[in-house]
Amino acid sequence: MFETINFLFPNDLHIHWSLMIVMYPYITGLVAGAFIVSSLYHVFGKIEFRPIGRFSLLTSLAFLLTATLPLLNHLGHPERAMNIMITPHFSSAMAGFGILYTFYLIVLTLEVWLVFRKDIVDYARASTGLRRTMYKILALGVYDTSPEALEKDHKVVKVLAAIGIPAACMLHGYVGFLFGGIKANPWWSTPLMPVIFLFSAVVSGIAALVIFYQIAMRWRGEAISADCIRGLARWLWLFLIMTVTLELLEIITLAYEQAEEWEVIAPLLTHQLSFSFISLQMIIGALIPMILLMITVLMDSFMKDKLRNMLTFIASSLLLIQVFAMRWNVVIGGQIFSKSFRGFRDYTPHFLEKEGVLAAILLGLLPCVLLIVLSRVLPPFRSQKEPIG
Amino acid sequence: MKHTKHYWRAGFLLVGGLIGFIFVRHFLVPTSFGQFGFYRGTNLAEQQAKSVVHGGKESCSTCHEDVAKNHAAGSHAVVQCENCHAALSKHINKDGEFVELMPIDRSPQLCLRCHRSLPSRPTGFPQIETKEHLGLDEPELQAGACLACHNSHRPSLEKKKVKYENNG
Repeated sequence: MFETINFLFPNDLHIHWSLMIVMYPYITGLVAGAFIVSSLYHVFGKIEFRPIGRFSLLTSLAFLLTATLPLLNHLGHPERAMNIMITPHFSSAMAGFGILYTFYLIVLTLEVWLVFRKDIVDYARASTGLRRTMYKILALGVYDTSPEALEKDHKVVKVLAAIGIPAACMLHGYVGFLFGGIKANPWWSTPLMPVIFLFSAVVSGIAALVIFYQIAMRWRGEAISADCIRGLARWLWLFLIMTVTLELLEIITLAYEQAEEWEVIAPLLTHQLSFSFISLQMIIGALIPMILLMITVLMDSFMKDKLRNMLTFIASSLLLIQVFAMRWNVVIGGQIFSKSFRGFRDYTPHFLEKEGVLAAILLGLLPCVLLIVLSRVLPPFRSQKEPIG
Repeated sequence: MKHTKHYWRAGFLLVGGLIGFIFVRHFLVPTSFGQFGFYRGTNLAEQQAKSVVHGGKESCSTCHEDVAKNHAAGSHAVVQCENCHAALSKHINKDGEFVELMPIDRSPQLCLRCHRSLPSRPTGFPQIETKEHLGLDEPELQAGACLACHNSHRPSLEKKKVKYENNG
Protein backbone atom coordinates (compact mmCIF):
# COMPACT_ATOMS: atom_id res chain seq x y z
CA MET A 1 0.00 0.00 0.00
CA PHE A 2 1.08 3.60 0.54
CA GLU A 3 4.42 4.27 2.03
CA THR A 4 3.56 6.93 4.56
CA ILE A 5 5.54 8.50 7.34
CA ASN A 6 4.20 10.30 10.39
CA PHE A 7 1.03 12.36 10.30
CA LEU A 8 -0.99 12.62 7.11
CA PHE A 9 -4.46 13.92 6.54
CA PRO A 10 -6.65 11.39 4.73
CA ASN A 11 -6.78 13.70 1.69
CA ASP A 12 -2.96 13.83 1.57
CA LEU A 13 -2.76 10.19 0.54
CA HIS A 14 -3.34 10.58 -3.17
CA ILE A 15 -0.93 12.35 -5.50
CA HIS A 16 -3.27 14.15 -7.89
CA TRP A 17 -0.72 15.87 -10.09
CA SER A 18 1.19 12.97 -11.56
CA LEU A 19 4.21 12.55 -13.82
CA MET A 20 2.17 14.13 -16.62
CA ILE A 21 2.07 17.42 -14.71
CA VAL A 22 5.86 17.17 -14.49
CA MET A 23 6.03 16.72 -18.27
CA TYR A 24 3.81 19.72 -19.02
CA PRO A 25 6.03 22.50 -17.64
CA TYR A 26 9.06 20.64 -18.96
CA ILE A 27 7.78 20.66 -22.54
CA THR A 28 6.40 24.21 -22.27
CA GLY A 29 9.77 25.30 -20.91
CA LEU A 30 11.51 23.92 -23.96
CA VAL A 31 9.10 25.94 -26.11
CA ALA A 32 9.96 29.19 -24.35
CA GLY A 33 13.68 28.44 -24.19
CA ALA A 34 14.01 27.57 -27.87
CA PHE A 35 12.08 30.70 -28.78
CA ILE A 36 14.35 32.93 -26.71
CA VAL A 37 17.35 31.55 -28.63
CA SER A 38 15.66 32.27 -31.94
CA SER A 39 14.95 35.80 -30.73
CA LEU A 40 18.58 36.33 -29.83
CA TYR A 41 19.22 36.04 -33.56
CA HIS A 42 16.08 37.60 -35.00
CA VAL A 43 15.70 40.54 -32.58
CA PHE A 44 19.01 41.08 -30.87
CA GLY A 45 21.12 40.38 -33.93
CA LYS A 46 23.33 37.75 -32.34
CA ILE A 47 24.76 36.68 -35.66
CA GLU A 48 26.48 33.60 -34.17
CA PHE A 49 23.05 31.99 -33.79
CA ARG A 50 22.28 32.27 -37.47
CA PRO A 51 22.83 28.54 -38.09
CA ILE A 52 20.06 27.70 -35.60
CA GLY A 53 17.88 30.81 -36.01
CA ARG A 54 15.32 28.91 -38.05
CA PHE A 55 15.84 25.54 -36.43
CA SER A 56 15.12 26.97 -32.97
CA LEU A 57 11.80 28.35 -34.25
CA LEU A 58 10.80 24.92 -35.56
CA THR A 59 11.88 23.35 -32.26
CA SER A 60 9.70 25.81 -30.39
CA LEU A 61 6.75 25.06 -32.69
CA ALA A 62 7.17 21.26 -32.45
CA PHE A 63 7.18 21.38 -28.66
CA LEU A 64 4.34 23.90 -28.52
CA LEU A 65 2.10 21.70 -30.66
CA THR A 66 2.58 18.78 -28.25
CA ALA A 67 2.67 20.78 -24.99
CA THR A 68 -0.96 20.13 -24.13
CA LEU A 69 -0.84 16.36 -24.64
CA PRO A 70 0.38 15.51 -21.10
CA LEU A 71 -2.53 17.54 -19.74
CA LEU A 72 -5.02 15.82 -22.01
CA ASN A 73 -3.67 12.44 -20.92
CA HIS A 74 -3.94 13.53 -17.30
CA LEU A 75 -7.53 14.73 -17.59
CA GLY A 76 -10.14 12.14 -16.80
CA HIS A 77 -12.35 13.75 -19.46
CA PRO A 78 -10.04 15.12 -22.17
CA GLU A 79 -13.07 15.95 -24.32
CA ARG A 80 -13.88 18.70 -21.81
CA ALA A 81 -10.54 20.41 -22.46
CA MET A 82 -12.13 22.91 -24.84
CA ASN A 83 -14.28 24.29 -22.01
CA ILE A 84 -11.29 26.27 -20.80
CA MET A 85 -11.12 27.90 -24.23
CA ILE A 86 -14.81 28.65 -24.73
CA THR A 87 -15.85 29.53 -21.18
CA PRO A 88 -12.75 30.61 -19.26
CA HIS A 89 -13.46 31.55 -15.66
CA PHE A 90 -11.01 34.27 -14.76
CA SER A 91 -11.07 33.59 -11.07
CA SER A 92 -8.80 30.66 -11.94
CA ALA A 93 -5.25 31.16 -13.16
CA MET A 94 -5.77 28.22 -15.50
CA ALA A 95 -8.25 30.30 -17.49
CA GLY A 96 -5.27 32.26 -18.76
CA PHE A 97 -4.06 29.20 -20.60
CA GLY A 98 -6.41 29.42 -23.58
CA ILE A 99 -5.53 33.03 -24.27
CA LEU A 100 -1.79 32.78 -23.68
CA TYR A 101 -1.39 29.52 -25.58
CA THR A 102 -3.48 30.66 -28.57
CA PHE A 103 -1.80 34.04 -28.75
CA TYR A 104 1.65 32.52 -28.62
CA LEU A 105 0.72 29.84 -31.15
CA ILE A 106 -0.46 32.53 -33.58
CA VAL A 107 2.67 34.65 -33.11
CA LEU A 108 4.97 31.67 -33.47
CA THR A 109 3.17 30.23 -36.50
CA LEU A 110 3.23 33.62 -38.22
CA GLU A 111 6.92 34.02 -37.47
CA VAL A 112 7.76 30.53 -38.74
CA TRP A 113 5.68 31.19 -41.83
CA LEU A 114 7.40 34.48 -42.64
CA VAL A 115 10.89 33.19 -41.89
CA PHE A 116 10.36 30.23 -44.21
CA ARG A 117 8.16 31.99 -46.77
CA LYS A 118 10.84 32.39 -49.40
CA ASP A 119 11.73 28.70 -49.11
CA ILE A 120 8.07 27.72 -49.24
CA VAL A 121 7.59 29.69 -52.45
CA ASP A 122 10.79 28.22 -53.94
CA TYR A 123 9.64 24.68 -53.09
CA ALA A 124 6.22 25.41 -54.53
CA ARG A 125 7.80 26.58 -57.75
CA ALA A 126 10.21 23.67 -57.98
CA SER A 127 7.91 20.80 -57.06
CA THR A 128 4.97 19.10 -58.72
CA GLY A 129 1.77 17.29 -57.78
CA LEU A 130 0.71 16.97 -54.16
CA ARG A 131 3.95 18.44 -52.89
CA ARG A 132 3.37 21.54 -54.97
CA THR A 133 -0.19 21.84 -53.67
CA MET A 134 1.02 21.53 -50.08
CA TYR A 135 3.62 24.29 -50.52
CA LYS A 136 1.16 26.41 -52.47
CA ILE A 137 -1.29 26.22 -49.58
CA LEU A 138 1.52 27.02 -47.15
CA ALA A 139 2.45 30.04 -49.29
CA LEU A 140 -1.23 31.06 -49.27
CA GLY A 141 -1.00 31.18 -53.02
CA VAL A 142 1.24 34.26 -53.03
CA TYR A 143 4.56 33.80 -54.81
CA ASP A 144 5.91 37.29 -54.19
CA THR A 145 9.59 36.91 -53.27
CA SER A 146 10.74 40.27 -54.54
CA PRO A 147 13.47 41.93 -52.46
CA GLU A 148 10.91 44.49 -51.25
CA ALA A 149 8.54 41.78 -50.04
CA LEU A 150 11.36 39.89 -48.32
CA GLU A 151 12.58 43.08 -46.71
CA LYS A 152 9.08 43.68 -45.38
CA ASP A 153 8.94 40.08 -44.11
CA HIS A 154 12.23 40.61 -42.38
CA LYS A 155 10.90 43.67 -40.54
CA VAL A 156 7.66 41.94 -39.56
CA VAL A 157 9.61 38.92 -38.28
CA LYS A 158 11.55 41.24 -36.04
CA VAL A 159 8.33 42.72 -34.65
CA LEU A 160 6.77 39.27 -34.22
CA ALA A 161 9.88 38.00 -32.44
CA ALA A 162 9.79 41.03 -30.18
CA ILE A 163 6.13 40.34 -29.36
CA GLY A 164 6.97 36.65 -29.03
CA ILE A 165 9.50 37.18 -26.23
CA PRO A 166 6.97 38.52 -23.70
CA ALA A 167 4.42 36.03 -25.05
CA ALA A 168 6.80 33.10 -24.44
CA CYS A 169 7.66 34.53 -21.03
CA MET A 170 3.98 34.88 -20.22
CA LEU A 171 3.18 31.36 -21.38
CA HIS A 172 5.82 29.81 -19.22
CA GLY A 173 5.63 32.34 -16.42
CA TYR A 174 1.96 31.46 -16.20
CA VAL A 175 2.88 27.81 -15.59
CA GLY A 176 5.12 28.93 -12.74
CA PHE A 177 2.36 31.21 -11.51
CA LEU A 178 -0.02 28.23 -11.25
CA PHE A 179 2.30 26.81 -8.62
CA GLY A 180 3.50 30.09 -7.13
CA GLY A 181 -0.08 31.19 -6.56
CA ILE A 182 -1.10 28.25 -4.37
CA LYS A 183 -0.96 29.86 -0.95
CA ALA A 184 -1.68 26.68 1.00
CA ASN A 185 1.53 25.07 -0.19
CA PRO A 186 4.69 26.64 1.22
CA TRP A 187 6.93 24.77 -1.22
CA TRP A 188 5.11 26.40 -4.16
CA SER A 189 3.81 29.67 -2.84
CA THR A 190 6.44 32.23 -3.79
CA PRO A 191 6.43 35.07 -6.30
CA LEU A 192 9.84 33.78 -7.39
CA MET A 193 8.25 30.66 -8.85
CA PRO A 194 7.35 32.10 -12.30
CA VAL A 195 10.82 33.60 -12.57
CA ILE A 196 12.54 30.36 -11.59
CA PHE A 197 10.39 28.48 -14.10
CA LEU A 198 11.25 30.97 -16.79
CA PHE A 199 15.00 30.91 -16.27
CA SER A 200 15.14 27.14 -16.04
CA ALA A 201 13.00 27.03 -19.18
CA VAL A 202 15.60 29.06 -21.04
CA VAL A 203 18.31 26.72 -19.72
CA SER A 204 16.42 23.65 -20.96
CA GLY A 205 15.67 25.33 -24.31
CA ILE A 206 19.29 26.25 -25.00
CA ALA A 207 20.47 22.83 -23.78
CA ALA A 208 18.01 21.05 -26.07
CA LEU A 209 19.15 23.16 -29.02
CA VAL A 210 22.82 22.37 -28.34
CA ILE A 211 21.96 18.67 -28.45
CA PHE A 212 19.55 18.82 -31.40
CA TYR A 213 21.88 21.05 -33.41
CA GLN A 214 24.89 18.80 -32.91
CA ILE A 215 22.88 15.67 -33.74
CA ALA A 216 21.36 17.34 -36.81
CA MET A 217 24.78 18.40 -38.11
CA ARG A 218 26.22 14.92 -37.56
CA TRP A 219 23.24 13.50 -39.38
CA ARG A 220 23.71 15.88 -42.30
CA GLY A 221 27.46 15.37 -42.24
CA GLU A 222 28.08 19.11 -41.98
CA ALA A 223 30.44 21.05 -39.77
CA ILE A 224 29.13 22.27 -36.44
CA SER A 225 29.51 26.04 -36.25
CA ALA A 226 32.08 26.79 -33.56
CA ASP A 227 30.77 30.32 -33.10
CA CYS A 228 27.26 29.03 -32.58
CA ILE A 229 28.31 26.48 -29.96
CA ARG A 230 30.54 29.05 -28.30
CA GLY A 231 27.64 31.50 -28.11
CA LEU A 232 25.19 28.87 -26.88
CA ALA A 233 27.63 27.75 -24.19
CA ARG A 234 28.07 31.34 -23.00
CA TRP A 235 24.33 32.01 -22.80
CA LEU A 236 23.69 28.61 -21.26
CA TRP A 237 26.25 29.32 -18.57
CA LEU A 238 24.71 32.71 -17.83
CA PHE A 239 21.17 31.39 -17.59
CA LEU A 240 22.32 28.39 -15.54
CA ILE A 241 23.99 30.70 -13.03
CA MET A 242 20.84 32.79 -12.75
CA THR A 243 18.60 29.72 -12.47
CA VAL A 244 20.65 28.06 -9.75
CA THR A 245 20.97 31.38 -7.91
CA LEU A 246 17.21 31.83 -7.91
CA GLU A 247 16.55 28.21 -6.95
CA LEU A 248 18.96 28.45 -4.05
CA LEU A 249 17.75 31.91 -3.10
CA GLU A 250 14.28 30.56 -2.55
CA ILE A 251 15.53 27.74 -0.35
CA ILE A 252 17.99 29.92 1.55
CA THR A 253 15.18 32.38 2.30
CA LEU A 254 13.02 29.56 3.64
CA ALA A 255 15.92 28.18 5.66
CA TYR A 256 16.88 31.57 7.08
CA GLU A 257 13.34 32.55 7.99
CA GLN A 258 12.93 29.27 9.88
CA ALA A 259 9.17 29.65 9.70
CA GLU A 260 6.94 26.69 10.47
CA GLU A 261 7.09 25.35 6.91
CA TRP A 262 10.84 24.81 7.15
CA GLU A 263 10.09 21.95 9.55
CA VAL A 264 8.67 20.00 6.63
CA ILE A 265 10.71 21.43 3.75
CA ALA A 266 14.09 20.64 5.33
CA PRO A 267 13.38 16.89 5.64
CA LEU A 268 11.64 16.98 2.25
CA LEU A 269 14.84 18.16 0.58
CA THR A 270 17.26 16.04 2.58
CA HIS A 271 15.27 12.80 2.70
CA GLN A 272 12.28 12.44 0.38
CA LEU A 273 13.86 14.40 -2.47
CA SER A 274 17.49 13.78 -1.56
CA PHE A 275 18.23 12.01 -4.87
CA SER A 276 16.19 14.17 -7.21
CA PHE A 277 17.06 17.45 -5.49
CA ILE A 278 20.57 17.18 -4.04
CA SER A 279 22.06 14.61 -6.40
CA LEU A 280 20.27 15.41 -9.66
CA GLN A 281 19.12 19.01 -9.51
CA MET A 282 22.02 20.48 -7.60
CA ILE A 283 25.13 18.32 -8.12
CA ILE A 284 24.88 16.27 -11.33
CA GLY A 285 22.52 18.71 -13.01
CA ALA A 286 23.88 22.07 -11.88
CA LEU A 287 27.34 21.93 -10.32
CA ILE A 288 28.95 19.65 -12.91
CA PRO A 289 27.50 21.44 -15.98
CA MET A 290 28.41 24.76 -14.39
CA ILE A 291 32.04 23.63 -14.13
CA LEU A 292 31.97 22.19 -17.65
CA LEU A 293 30.50 25.37 -19.09
CA MET A 294 32.89 27.53 -17.11
CA ILE A 295 35.78 25.60 -18.62
CA THR A 296 34.20 25.91 -22.08
CA VAL A 297 33.70 29.65 -21.79
CA LEU A 298 36.79 30.75 -19.90
CA MET A 299 39.29 28.44 -21.60
CA ASP A 300 37.81 28.88 -25.03
CA SER A 301 41.02 30.03 -26.70
CA PHE A 302 42.80 26.83 -25.65
CA MET A 303 40.02 24.61 -26.83
CA LYS A 304 39.62 22.61 -30.02
CA ASP A 305 36.18 22.56 -31.61
CA LYS A 306 35.68 18.88 -30.94
CA LEU A 307 36.36 19.27 -27.22
CA ARG A 308 34.08 22.33 -27.00
CA ASN A 309 31.31 20.44 -28.76
CA MET A 310 31.72 17.48 -26.46
CA LEU A 311 31.78 19.53 -23.27
CA THR A 312 28.70 21.55 -24.21
CA PHE A 313 26.92 18.39 -25.32
CA ILE A 314 27.60 16.69 -21.98
CA ALA A 315 26.70 19.83 -20.02
CA SER A 316 23.48 20.22 -22.02
CA SER A 317 22.47 16.60 -21.49
CA LEU A 318 22.99 17.02 -17.75
CA LEU A 319 21.06 20.28 -17.81
CA LEU A 320 18.07 18.63 -19.47
CA ILE A 321 18.12 16.20 -16.55
CA GLN A 322 18.51 19.12 -14.11
CA VAL A 323 15.47 20.94 -15.42
CA PHE A 324 13.40 17.76 -15.45
CA ALA A 325 14.50 17.08 -11.85
CA MET A 326 13.55 20.66 -10.94
CA ARG A 327 10.06 20.18 -12.41
CA TRP A 328 9.75 16.87 -10.58
CA ASN A 329 10.88 18.38 -7.29
CA VAL A 330 8.41 21.23 -7.59
CA VAL A 331 5.39 19.25 -8.80
CA ILE A 332 5.84 16.01 -6.87
CA GLY A 333 7.77 17.53 -3.96
CA GLY A 334 4.88 19.89 -3.30
CA GLN A 335 2.49 17.00 -3.00
CA ILE A 336 4.37 14.36 -1.03
CA PHE A 337 4.41 16.28 2.22
CA SER A 338 1.27 16.53 4.27
CA LYS A 339 -0.44 19.86 4.70
CA SER A 340 -0.16 19.04 8.40
CA PHE A 341 3.59 19.71 7.84
CA ARG A 342 4.19 16.56 9.85
CA GLY A 343 4.08 13.68 7.43
CA PHE A 344 5.09 12.38 4.03
CA ARG A 345 3.93 9.94 1.47
CA ASP A 346 5.73 8.47 -1.49
CA TYR A 347 5.12 8.63 -5.23
CA THR A 348 6.63 6.31 -7.80
CA PRO A 349 5.02 6.23 -11.24
CA HIS A 350 4.59 2.78 -12.72
CA PHE A 351 6.01 1.99 -16.10
CA LEU A 352 2.85 1.05 -17.94
CA GLU A 353 0.09 3.02 -16.20
CA LYS A 354 -1.89 5.69 -18.06
CA GLU A 355 0.22 8.48 -16.60
CA GLY A 356 3.31 6.33 -16.16
CA VAL A 357 6.90 6.31 -17.32
CA LEU A 358 6.22 4.90 -20.79
CA ALA A 359 3.57 7.56 -21.46
CA ALA A 360 6.07 10.23 -20.35
CA ILE A 361 8.81 8.85 -22.61
CA LEU A 362 6.44 8.74 -25.58
CA LEU A 363 5.28 12.29 -24.89
CA GLY A 364 8.91 13.38 -24.70
CA LEU A 365 9.75 11.67 -27.99
CA LEU A 366 6.69 12.89 -29.85
CA PRO A 367 7.85 16.54 -30.22
CA CYS A 368 11.25 15.24 -31.39
CA VAL A 369 9.55 13.17 -34.09
CA LEU A 370 7.38 16.15 -34.97
CA LEU A 371 10.52 18.28 -35.21
CA ILE A 372 12.00 15.81 -37.70
CA VAL A 373 8.78 15.91 -39.74
CA LEU A 374 8.70 19.73 -39.64
CA SER A 375 12.35 19.84 -40.66
CA ARG A 376 11.50 17.69 -43.67
CA VAL A 377 8.70 19.99 -44.75
CA LEU A 378 10.59 23.20 -43.97
CA PRO A 379 14.32 22.40 -43.99
CA PRO A 380 15.76 24.81 -41.43
CA PHE A 381 19.45 24.46 -42.22
CA ARG A 382 20.77 26.46 -45.11
CA SER A 383 23.87 25.61 -47.00
CA GLN A 384 26.76 27.18 -45.15
CA LYS A 385 27.94 28.98 -48.28
CA GLU A 386 24.74 31.01 -48.56
CA PRO A 387 25.14 34.73 -47.78
CA ILE A 388 23.94 36.02 -44.44
CA GLY A 389 20.41 37.40 -44.48
CA MET B 1 0.56 49.07 -50.48
CA LYS B 2 2.73 46.91 -52.65
CA HIS B 3 4.01 43.47 -51.74
CA THR B 4 1.45 42.99 -48.98
CA LYS B 5 -0.80 40.46 -50.67
CA HIS B 6 0.37 37.60 -48.45
CA TYR B 7 -0.26 39.69 -45.32
CA TRP B 8 -3.82 40.32 -46.43
CA ARG B 9 -4.34 36.61 -46.96
CA ALA B 10 -2.82 35.73 -43.59
CA GLY B 11 -4.93 38.44 -41.95
CA PHE B 12 -8.00 37.12 -43.69
CA LEU B 13 -7.20 33.62 -42.38
CA LEU B 14 -6.76 34.93 -38.84
CA VAL B 15 -9.98 36.93 -38.93
CA GLY B 16 -11.70 33.92 -40.50
CA GLY B 17 -10.35 31.76 -37.69
CA LEU B 18 -11.64 34.24 -35.10
CA ILE B 19 -15.08 34.38 -36.71
CA GLY B 20 -15.04 30.57 -36.95
CA PHE B 21 -14.20 30.37 -33.26
CA ILE B 22 -17.03 32.73 -32.32
CA PHE B 23 -19.39 30.77 -34.58
CA VAL B 24 -18.36 27.37 -33.14
CA ARG B 25 -18.39 28.78 -29.63
CA HIS B 26 -21.95 29.89 -30.14
CA PHE B 27 -22.94 26.25 -30.67
CA LEU B 28 -20.63 24.76 -28.08
CA VAL B 29 -21.70 26.95 -25.18
CA PRO B 30 -25.06 25.63 -23.97
CA THR B 31 -27.86 28.19 -24.12
CA SER B 32 -28.59 27.82 -20.42
CA PHE B 33 -24.96 28.56 -19.52
CA GLY B 34 -24.83 31.39 -16.98
CA GLN B 35 -28.55 31.17 -16.16
CA PHE B 36 -27.84 30.69 -12.45
CA GLY B 37 -24.08 30.88 -12.30
CA PHE B 38 -20.97 29.85 -14.15
CA TYR B 39 -22.44 26.53 -15.27
CA ARG B 40 -25.14 25.06 -17.47
CA GLY B 41 -28.53 25.95 -15.98
CA THR B 42 -30.30 22.85 -17.28
CA ASN B 43 -27.79 20.71 -15.45
CA LEU B 44 -29.76 21.22 -12.23
CA ALA B 45 -32.90 19.69 -13.75
CA GLU B 46 -30.83 16.82 -15.17
CA GLN B 47 -29.37 16.05 -11.77
CA GLN B 48 -32.82 16.18 -10.19
CA ALA B 49 -34.23 13.82 -12.81
CA LYS B 50 -31.64 11.14 -12.09
CA SER B 51 -33.04 8.08 -10.36
CA VAL B 52 -31.98 7.49 -6.78
CA VAL B 53 -28.96 5.25 -6.51
CA HIS B 54 -28.44 5.05 -2.76
CA GLY B 55 -31.25 4.41 -0.31
CA GLY B 56 -29.58 4.73 3.08
CA LYS B 57 -29.74 2.11 5.80
CA GLU B 58 -33.42 2.75 6.49
CA SER B 59 -34.32 1.33 3.09
CA CYS B 60 -32.31 -1.82 3.86
CA SER B 61 -34.02 -2.29 7.21
CA THR B 62 -37.45 -2.57 5.59
CA CYS B 63 -36.54 -6.10 4.47
CA HIS B 64 -33.50 -6.96 6.61
CA GLU B 65 -34.84 -5.97 9.98
CA ASP B 66 -32.88 -8.62 11.90
CA VAL B 67 -29.54 -7.53 10.45
CA ALA B 68 -30.41 -3.86 10.93
CA LYS B 69 -31.21 -4.44 14.61
CA ASN B 70 -27.96 -6.26 15.21
CA HIS B 71 -26.05 -3.60 13.24
CA ALA B 72 -27.67 -0.75 15.14
CA ALA B 73 -26.55 -2.18 18.47
CA GLY B 74 -22.84 -2.34 17.58
CA SER B 75 -20.00 0.07 16.94
CA HIS B 76 -20.65 -0.01 13.19
CA ALA B 77 -24.10 1.55 13.72
CA VAL B 78 -22.90 4.78 12.12
CA VAL B 79 -21.61 3.00 9.01
CA GLN B 80 -24.07 2.90 6.15
CA CYS B 81 -24.88 -0.53 4.72
CA GLU B 82 -24.07 0.72 1.23
CA ASN B 83 -20.56 1.73 2.28
CA CYS B 84 -19.48 -1.90 2.46
CA HIS B 85 -22.04 -3.54 0.17
CA ALA B 86 -23.11 -1.62 -2.92
CA ALA B 87 -25.64 1.03 -3.85
CA LEU B 88 -29.24 0.02 -3.25
CA SER B 89 -30.06 0.37 -6.95
CA LYS B 90 -27.76 -2.56 -7.72
CA HIS B 91 -30.01 -4.77 -5.56
CA ILE B 92 -33.48 -3.20 -5.86
CA ASN B 93 -34.63 -0.95 -8.70
CA LYS B 94 -36.62 2.26 -8.31
CA ASP B 95 -39.90 0.35 -8.56
CA GLY B 96 -38.94 -1.82 -5.60
CA GLU B 97 -38.20 -4.89 -7.74
CA PHE B 98 -35.38 -7.28 -7.06
CA VAL B 99 -32.42 -6.84 -9.47
CA GLU B 100 -29.68 -9.09 -8.17
CA LEU B 101 -28.17 -10.28 -4.92
CA MET B 102 -26.19 -7.67 -3.03
CA PRO B 103 -22.47 -8.30 -3.51
CA ILE B 104 -20.63 -9.30 -0.35
CA ASP B 105 -16.97 -8.36 -0.26
CA ARG B 106 -15.12 -10.50 2.28
CA SER B 107 -11.65 -9.19 1.46
CA PRO B 108 -9.58 -7.85 4.37
CA GLN B 109 -8.84 -4.80 2.20
CA LEU B 110 -12.45 -3.70 2.65
CA CYS B 111 -12.05 -3.69 6.44
CA LEU B 112 -8.61 -2.11 6.18
CA ARG B 113 -10.00 0.74 4.13
CA CYS B 114 -11.10 2.18 7.44
CA HIS B 115 -8.99 0.21 9.91
CA ARG B 116 -5.56 0.29 8.29
CA SER B 117 -3.20 1.93 10.73
CA LEU B 118 -2.74 5.57 9.76
CA PRO B 119 -1.40 8.29 11.99
CA SER B 120 -4.09 10.64 10.73
CA ARG B 121 -6.86 8.55 12.30
CA PRO B 122 -8.18 9.53 15.71
CA THR B 123 -6.60 7.99 18.80
CA GLY B 124 -8.76 5.18 20.09
CA PHE B 125 -10.11 4.32 16.65
CA PRO B 126 -9.37 0.63 15.99
CA GLN B 127 -6.35 0.65 13.67
CA ILE B 128 -4.71 -2.52 12.52
CA GLU B 129 -1.13 -3.39 11.64
CA THR B 130 -1.86 -6.74 10.05
CA LYS B 131 1.61 -8.05 10.90
CA GLU B 132 1.03 -7.43 14.60
CA HIS B 133 -2.65 -8.34 14.59
CA LEU B 134 -2.58 -11.51 12.48
CA GLY B 135 1.12 -12.21 11.98
CA LEU B 136 0.79 -11.69 8.23
CA ASP B 137 1.44 -8.82 5.87
CA GLU B 138 -1.54 -7.35 4.06
CA PRO B 139 -0.99 -9.03 0.68
CA GLU B 140 -0.73 -12.44 2.38
CA LEU B 141 -4.19 -12.24 3.94
CA GLN B 142 -6.91 -14.51 2.58
CA ALA B 143 -10.49 -13.40 1.96
CA GLY B 144 -12.48 -13.66 5.16
CA ALA B 145 -9.40 -13.26 7.38
CA CYS B 146 -11.09 -10.55 9.45
CA LEU B 147 -14.48 -12.25 9.45
CA ALA B 148 -13.04 -15.36 11.08
CA CYS B 149 -13.25 -13.52 14.40
CA HIS B 150 -15.30 -10.39 13.78
CA ASN B 151 -18.86 -10.02 12.65
CA SER B 152 -18.75 -7.15 10.23
CA HIS B 153 -22.20 -5.91 11.27
CA ARG B 154 -21.23 -5.80 14.92
CA PRO B 155 -17.49 -6.25 15.12
CA SER B 156 -16.61 -5.74 18.78
CA LEU B 157 -15.42 -8.99 20.39
CA GLU B 158 -16.25 -7.69 23.87
CA LYS B 159 -19.91 -7.98 23.04
CA LYS B 160 -19.45 -11.60 22.05
CA LYS B 161 -21.76 -12.67 24.84
CA VAL B 162 -24.60 -11.21 22.88
CA LYS B 163 -25.92 -13.96 20.74
CA TYR B 164 -26.15 -13.14 17.12
CA GLU B 165 -26.47 -15.24 14.10
CA ASN B 166 -23.43 -16.14 12.13
CA ASN B 167 -22.50 -13.02 10.23
CA GLY B 168 -26.11 -11.89 10.11
